[in-house]
Amino acid sequence: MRRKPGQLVPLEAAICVCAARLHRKGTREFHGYEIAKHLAEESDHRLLTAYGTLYRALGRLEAMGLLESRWEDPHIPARENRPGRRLYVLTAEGEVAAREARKAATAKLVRRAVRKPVTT
Amino acid sequence: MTALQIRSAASLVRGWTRLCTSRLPASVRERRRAEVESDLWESLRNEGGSTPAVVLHLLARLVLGIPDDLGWWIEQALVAGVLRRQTLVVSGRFVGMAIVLGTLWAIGQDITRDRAIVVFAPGLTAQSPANNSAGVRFEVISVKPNPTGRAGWTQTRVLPGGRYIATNIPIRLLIGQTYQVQSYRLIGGPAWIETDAFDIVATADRDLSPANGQRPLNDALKALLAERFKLKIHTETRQLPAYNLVVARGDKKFGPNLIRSERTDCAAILAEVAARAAGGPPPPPLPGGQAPPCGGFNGIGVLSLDSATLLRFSDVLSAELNRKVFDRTGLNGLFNVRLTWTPDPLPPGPLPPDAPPIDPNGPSLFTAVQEQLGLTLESTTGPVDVVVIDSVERPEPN
Repeated sequence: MRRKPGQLVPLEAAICVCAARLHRKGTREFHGYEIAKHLAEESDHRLLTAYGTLYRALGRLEAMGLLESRWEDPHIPARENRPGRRLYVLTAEGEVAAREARKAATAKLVRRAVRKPVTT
Repeated sequence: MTALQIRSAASLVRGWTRLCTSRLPASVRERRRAEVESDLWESLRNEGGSTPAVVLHLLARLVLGIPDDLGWWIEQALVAGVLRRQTLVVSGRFVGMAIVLGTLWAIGQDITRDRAIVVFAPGLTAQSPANNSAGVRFEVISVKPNPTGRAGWTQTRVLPGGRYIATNIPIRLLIGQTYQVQSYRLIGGPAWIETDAFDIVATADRDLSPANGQRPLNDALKALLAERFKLKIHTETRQLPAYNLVVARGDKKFGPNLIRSERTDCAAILAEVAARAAGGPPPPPLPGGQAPPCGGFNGIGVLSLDSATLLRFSDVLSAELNRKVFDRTGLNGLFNVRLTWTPDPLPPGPLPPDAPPIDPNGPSLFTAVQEQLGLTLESTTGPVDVVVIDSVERPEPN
């Protein structure tokens, strides 16, 4: 999908919205698989976002300053005998972007409803 | 459909990730690989459903992401300067076509057969042990279960006249010795290959001592494992928990037991040692766990290296820690290393008479590396070349 200047593509917006929602529920940091799982649940899809698409989008959001990331403490995966997780967190700019994305989505729904009024 | 297909699909994802991160800067490359590895681990742990559904899910996430992977690679390659804009169009078309064809081929394979999918994994190669033998085979072989079980000592001997005797040897250890892989790099196989031990007596038609870079014993043992134990293996590269060996101090100062060697080259000394060894038995070890010139001593709780690279030291540490150690010190040249620590657990029973004593209150290996060498081990994950045991059978009694 071609990007319009200053705008997020739908997946990026969805990640910001999903991350903000997770934050409100008490999960500030998330890893790639976790956000993919939540995105799939919210959109009622069984298939998670593809690896290449997901991690490219996370990288772009980080480059835009909407996400920050770090590797988790290496002792944790060593103790649990699993690979280390890259943890992402929504920045203040990311929260603004999430609000904007939610507003835009709501406005789109309203426009659609106005164009197609419900007939009784 | 079996777990093999899931492993194959996961290997395909890993292989593709390795391919689409190749030639990129190490930090970018390792980050993407580690993130996908973590994602794979979470997927395999969390996603239920039937095996075909899991396999299809992994493959779908792989294939649907390929356009973004390519776009991402090009972005990163341009930033890193490994790709010029002029060559972009031609390269992109070529790579894209190759990937699509390769993917179609891989998916079209009959993965219900016991075969590994090897399309995109550069480090993954199917291997038949029998094909590796370079002509040297045992003519007479006796393989019997050892009645004492694993309580006894393991002993292997190579005698003149092509005779090989292994007493009380678990097959996992024999596979490791034959393929020269440390324990942490040997994966899979049933439990009995570690718990059951065998006595093997075999005779080849020629001498089994290594000569001219050839290792006839290993070739003969590969054939023996293939014939008598029906061993099938393959090698691949996996992302596994590992350690980075790094300099601990910000001022890069070494610890007291890490000293730059005055030697710059060990080739002449090692050639002399090899010439001496060819004429008779190896020299006895030096007292106190000292390393001979350009050599090493690896005892229980003692490690000494003379004029070794830190890459070699990392390999020795890998065996001690049973986990891959990557040399990330950035230090070149040769070093003398002396490391003493308290093994955990302490070895049962008395030490051999010529072994250096163990201080029961000494530091752990991790602490010793930091305090004595000024280096530190950081947990990480990284690519490790492993040998995977696909199948192995108990031998027919003879």
